[in-house]
Amino acid sequence: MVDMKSLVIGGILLGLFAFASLSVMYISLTDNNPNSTLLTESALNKTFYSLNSTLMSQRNQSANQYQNGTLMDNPETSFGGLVMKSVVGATNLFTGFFSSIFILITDLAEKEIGIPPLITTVFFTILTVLIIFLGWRLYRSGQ
Amino acid sequence: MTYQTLAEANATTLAKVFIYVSNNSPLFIPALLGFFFGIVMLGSYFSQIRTRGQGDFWGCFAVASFCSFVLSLVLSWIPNLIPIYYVIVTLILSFVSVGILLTQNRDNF
Repeated sequence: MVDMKSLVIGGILLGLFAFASLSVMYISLTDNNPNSTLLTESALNKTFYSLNSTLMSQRNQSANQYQNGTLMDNPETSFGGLVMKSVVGATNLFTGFFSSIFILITDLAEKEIGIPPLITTVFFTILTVLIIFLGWRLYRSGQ
Repeated sequence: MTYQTLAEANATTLAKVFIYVSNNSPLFIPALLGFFFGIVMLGSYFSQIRTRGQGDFWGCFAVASFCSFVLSLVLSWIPNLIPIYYVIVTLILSFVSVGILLTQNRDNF
């Protein structure tokens, strides 16, 4: 049985894995077969851009927090800031990665494999309800 | 039905031989990827059972699907050898299997 902690950590790691895989694919194809139609596949390009922008925004946010918290003469501190900003950052990363990869998989499954949109919609609904219940369980029992 | 010969296809390099085979038998590339996937998955799974007494099925599945994706990516470097359909299928398979692997409760391992 999956719990919320495993889902969030797994989602973030999956996003990093997808980003690394797509990066290797683009770099190696650009070097070896620049005319490949994989390089112009819109779903892959959209997902790679989305993952890249999510990671870039997190990097900028972390750099700003580091500067505000440590490098300034009078560091800006706020009550609960560390906890809240960490939670918000991890949640943003998880939702950004998870939605990007899910959209990629459903897009490609519909376009390339020919899976009907009804099946992907039902799967998406089940996953959404599961995440809502896991969030509720995390709030109620802390697991 | 007459098959094209190697001389007719002007298959002088190894890449051209592979393209010649895949053009004449379209099942060559999916069979190659499928056998590679099966060999890696079953080999690592039964190796784990033999050495540890317990196999991690989803771990072996993720490793095999990622290896298949890498093989299909390397084959896609050769122009006209592999349709992008197979690269995308192995890519989706690796994402799904790694997602299942990472979201599992792994207290037993």
